[in-house]
Amino acid sequence: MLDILANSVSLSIPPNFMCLATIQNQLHELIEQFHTADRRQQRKLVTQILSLAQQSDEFWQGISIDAEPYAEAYQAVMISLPRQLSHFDPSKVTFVHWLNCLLVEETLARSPKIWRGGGNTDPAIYAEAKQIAMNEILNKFEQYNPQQGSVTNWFNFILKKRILDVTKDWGGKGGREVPFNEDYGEEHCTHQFEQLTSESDKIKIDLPKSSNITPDISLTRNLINRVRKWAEDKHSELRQCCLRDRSEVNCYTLILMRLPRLIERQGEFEFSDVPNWKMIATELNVPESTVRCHFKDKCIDHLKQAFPASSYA
Amino acid sequence: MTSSTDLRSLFIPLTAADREQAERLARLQVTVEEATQVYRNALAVLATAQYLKMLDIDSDLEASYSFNPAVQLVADMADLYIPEVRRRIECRSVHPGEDSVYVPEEVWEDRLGFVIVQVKDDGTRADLLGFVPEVSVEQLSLSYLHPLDGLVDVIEDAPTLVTILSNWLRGKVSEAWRTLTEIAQPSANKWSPAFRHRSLPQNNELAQQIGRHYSERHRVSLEGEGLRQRIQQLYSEQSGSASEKAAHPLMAQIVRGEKEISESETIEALVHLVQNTLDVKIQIKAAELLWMLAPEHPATGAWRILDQGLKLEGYPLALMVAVLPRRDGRLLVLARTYSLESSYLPIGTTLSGLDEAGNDFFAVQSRRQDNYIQYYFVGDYKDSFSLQMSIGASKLAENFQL
Repeated sequence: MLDILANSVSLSIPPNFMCLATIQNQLHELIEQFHTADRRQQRKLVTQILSLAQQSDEFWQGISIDAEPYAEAYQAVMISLPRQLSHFDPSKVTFVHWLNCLLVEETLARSPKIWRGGGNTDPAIYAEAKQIAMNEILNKFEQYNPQQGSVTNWFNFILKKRILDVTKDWGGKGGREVPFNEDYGEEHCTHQFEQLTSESDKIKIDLPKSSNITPDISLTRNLINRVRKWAEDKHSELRQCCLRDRSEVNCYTLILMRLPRLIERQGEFEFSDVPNWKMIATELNVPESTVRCHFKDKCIDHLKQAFPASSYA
Repeated sequence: MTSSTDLRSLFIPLTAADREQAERLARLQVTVEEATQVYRNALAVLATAQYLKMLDIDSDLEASYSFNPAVQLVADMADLYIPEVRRRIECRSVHPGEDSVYVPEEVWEDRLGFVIVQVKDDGTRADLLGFVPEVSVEQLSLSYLHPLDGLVDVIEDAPTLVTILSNWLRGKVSEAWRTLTEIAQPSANKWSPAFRHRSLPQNNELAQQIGRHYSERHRVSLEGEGLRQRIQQLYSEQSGSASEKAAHPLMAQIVRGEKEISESETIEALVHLVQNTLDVKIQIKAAELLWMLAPEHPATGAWRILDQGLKLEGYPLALMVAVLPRRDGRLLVLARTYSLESSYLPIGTTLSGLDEAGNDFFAVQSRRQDNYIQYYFVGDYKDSFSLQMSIGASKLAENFQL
């Protein structure tokens, strides 16, 4: 996407630089329009703003490393974006950086892997260091390199360093007890970050590999049986819901025709193939569109009312 | 300035909860292929719902066919119901790298639009690629997609719906209008925590409000001698001659206090009143009593509540409408407004009726401690009108035809 935009500008300017600048300018224009637009226009503009921000190389997509906390954070930020836009000040920071900061804050707030202080850190020192680390990571987020690990681990690395700083600082000034031994220095932190980085790679293993889903046949069979029993119980009502002058084309018949049937084949049970609409139309000798419309307009609603989605909770 | 045509897709990461929700649905299929398709389409629906949420457009998964396992067994649908316009959009998934998307013929009609969503194979991300307002081929080329923000216009410009009340008497009711039984019996109304886009507190509140109203009325009206007295009172309040009143032998016996009446006789007496009186007030009261005894009885007419999360000045309100056929061939309509937030309506809540020309033909306003406000009137088939609820300058209107 960036290349396409770059093709339209002078070759004497570095393509990526121009591209980012173009995106930033466009974003700031759109945001300015957003503030004075009516509701319909705002809905369109916020779509354009988010879509355009995502085209920037700077936009943080933490989906593969920070995975779950990132996905949850992103959805939360997305919903609040129209309201949050009023807090964005283009004179202070670029929009993409501002958006990344929202995502980072929300991701870290949701991350279960945030270092909690190891049980021996003074809570006041921990809170102070955490705030400093958060500000630091937000200020220099453009330096974040996903190749080196997750944002959570990067934050933990900085947090531990700042705990040392605050501990030393407070210990010197106020005589507070120092919770860490003196060996816990910069070198140890670096080593720790590397360890965490390698651990973060393992997190990826938890992600699903493919979307192939295996049905739970016993559940499916149970549902089919319930639908079939309901259809039998309500057969007179369902039969009355028929095509004019064609009483045999009714909801009872159509629902049962479309319902998979368990059959025994060579000693094993399996579901039969369900006839498609063309086959059903041929069998009932009605136009395919007519039978399909009747099913959609009448039968589906019967089924939906009898088996509300909430009943599967 | 960025024009709409510069728009690319919208990336939405999917959460583990999204995948679990989609998988629960998909497992109730017969083959791996069908289960996988249902799973991917469900993720497409969830991603689209998330996008609409950003736009402050509510969607309702529970009312969507796509999230109904029984419907998914017999149909291939990936719809998302939008209560605001009472229409559906179809959300179809496509694999990364594919240049066309499969849209089955059974969903071509009755959709406000078709959103095409690229779902990553591991289910971790969805990219809303764009939409088309209509489809007439099973394999739709992605080159036909419109920029996503155009979906806003499609939803905003959706034609105003007119509810045909006489259809209710034939059992044809849009799903937005729910029965009082569904609302007043929370046990039959288990909202799934999985359906996050549903406005759960409002539904509970609505159930409590309606349930409270009817249980109070029920206690007063139906206990002991109360019911007989109510029927006697309704009967004697009727205008007309004594011979007309006594046209039904059972009624005459009840009025004279000659008979202990069983529940079935009570129902028979009430049905007689509902079907024969021309007094609108008595007809409504008798129908309401009848509904308490036999909610499914056809003589109660149709009583429905619009469960749409309606809000005025921040106050959540519900609109109830009942329609009953009359002996004179006309239709009796009852309109009632409830608060969903407390037992009482905000003071100054107005319920008004507007004729086809937009002129008020009634307006009732709540006072201090009004549980609800209502108005009933008689009209002819094909008459059109609107019901409007307002608080201050905020208004909500629903259009009807008898």
